[in-house]
Amino acid sequence: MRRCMSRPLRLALALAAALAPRLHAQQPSAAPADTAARPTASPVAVAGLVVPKDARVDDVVVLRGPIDVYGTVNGDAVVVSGDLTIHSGGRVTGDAVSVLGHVRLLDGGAVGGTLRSMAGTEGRHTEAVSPVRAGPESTMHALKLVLGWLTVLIIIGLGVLVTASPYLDGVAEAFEVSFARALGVGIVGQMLVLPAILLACVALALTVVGVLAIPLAIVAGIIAAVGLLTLGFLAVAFITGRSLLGGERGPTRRRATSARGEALVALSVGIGVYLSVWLGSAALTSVPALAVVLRTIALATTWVAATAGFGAALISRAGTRSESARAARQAAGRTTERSPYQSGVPGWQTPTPVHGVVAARRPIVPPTHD
Amino acid sequence: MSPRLTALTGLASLGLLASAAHAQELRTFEASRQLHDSVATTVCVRYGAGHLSMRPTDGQQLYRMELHYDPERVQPIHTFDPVARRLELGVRNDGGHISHLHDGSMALELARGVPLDLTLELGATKAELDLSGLTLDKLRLDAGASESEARFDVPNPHPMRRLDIQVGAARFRGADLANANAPLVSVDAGVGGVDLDFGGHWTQDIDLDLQVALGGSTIRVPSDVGVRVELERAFASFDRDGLRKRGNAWVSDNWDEAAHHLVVRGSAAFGRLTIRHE
Repeated sequence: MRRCMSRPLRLALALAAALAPRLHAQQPSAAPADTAARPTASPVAVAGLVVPKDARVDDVVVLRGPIDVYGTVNGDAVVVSGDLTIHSGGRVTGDAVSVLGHVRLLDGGAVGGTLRSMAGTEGRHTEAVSPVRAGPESTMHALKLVLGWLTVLIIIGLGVLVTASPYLDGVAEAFEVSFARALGVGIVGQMLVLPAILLACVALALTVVGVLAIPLAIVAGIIAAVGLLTLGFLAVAFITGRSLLGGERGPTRRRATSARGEALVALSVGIGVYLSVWLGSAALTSVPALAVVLRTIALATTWVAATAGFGAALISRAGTRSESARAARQAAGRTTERSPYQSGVPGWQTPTPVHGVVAARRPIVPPTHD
Repeated sequence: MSPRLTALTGLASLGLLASAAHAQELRTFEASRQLHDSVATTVCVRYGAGHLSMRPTDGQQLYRMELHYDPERVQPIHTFDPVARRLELGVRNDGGHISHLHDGSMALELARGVPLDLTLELGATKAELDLSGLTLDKLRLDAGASESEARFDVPNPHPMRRLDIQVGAARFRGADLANANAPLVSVDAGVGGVDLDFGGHWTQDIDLDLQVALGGSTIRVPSDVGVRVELERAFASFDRDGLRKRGNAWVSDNWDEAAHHLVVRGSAAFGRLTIRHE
């Protein structure tokens, strides 16, 4: 069984742990005569210690100085920032330890325990030295990661605004109609993504010929799901940013050039809002407790936004089915009952043919006989 | 001082302290133990990642270990139980993290005159094991994913009861394995492959239990030693050099006259076994 560490040794190592980052290597200086250990004492000295021949001492601890053992140390000999030398005839019954120095066992010397020397402390720092576990490098890395995601999402958002603004509008409208419905559909949708892809694979496999398309189906399914998720999140971010900035723009006005800029600003603000919690969590990487709390909040808000947006994307079929247009059609269908044979065009007007012009029959003039 | 400035100063101090504490990434640690007797000792060496070198020592030390390690990821192990005579050395992975520092190393010296039951558990290491002259009672090498080389330049003065080698995903090379003085050698080659050289000083017959999976294995035997191979193969190739079929085994021409014999038994699946009778 490993011998328990003595109290002086524990104290010395704790002190070494506290001081180690600030200590510098020093040349060992000659131990003054008045620091020689008295028999049966347990000296803790600074600037060197000599255990004379025939002397018997208990545990010895020295800070910033060498230990020279000519006699006997009943216990451990520990030196911080110095060398420990067990000379011929010298004896240490316990461990011989040097922090920021070396242990030298000369011929004729004896150490009953382990000889240890270390540059710095053994193992990780104690709380007294480093109250934070993560250094500035980890914090910078986390911040860069979040800022990178912010940039990527803004670029994607810009692309969506430029190329697919109507689809973004459609998803945003579906979200605005009913948040609860969008969230519910989003949750169910997330659960059904994998089964849907599996079902597609099974269906392709059943066709035999479609087996070759299974990898494509898997990739396409994943891309479609991720695309809908992204579109939905951007729509939610757009609505969030627009709400914060104030003012509601209609779809027609939003298509104007200046309105597009305003839409980009709203989208950027919305993305920034959701990522700001992640940014706070990254900035507090060095305080794990707070970082965990903020990260949990960020995860929760992002998941809700992404899920609701995903649901809105599903409801609006990726924005191709505008809720307002559907509501208008439903309203128009209820108020007016039209006969399938009745058109809005007056009967005396001939509607213009869609495809080409119908050739008119030339009037046939009967021939005249003279 | 305004509260804002105080807070900023405090945060700056924390940052400086953290950077100072974090400045040391690779530490040096040395441990040794004076040799007081030659009582048999069980030695277990664990080393996960880095470079391991082992050699014997004639000094007055039971062992001497020098470690360069990442204190954020691993902790040194150096425990000795004087009652059970059990010595554990190496590093312990801290929380399952893998150190991003690849220049960690461990240099280990073991005393020659002490009978040792030596177990080496290696991870993803590059190991150079000079076991020459060590008094080994038993040796077990679990090479894991390490590229290992073990050699016995000088005969083992103590008859070794068993030599076990398990190779995972990397190669193992054994040189002068006859000097190990082990009548029973067990090698599980895994997917890495092994190169076993049975050169050295032969004092007895050797039984080799060999399991070969996906890797290729080569066995080199001195020309004056008789060889017999009894191998079960499954989709594995067997390159024999000068061996002839006799019953259900392949034997060398000098099997009947040779003073010492190597009997290879085992199985090979999807691998390649090469016998060089040189």
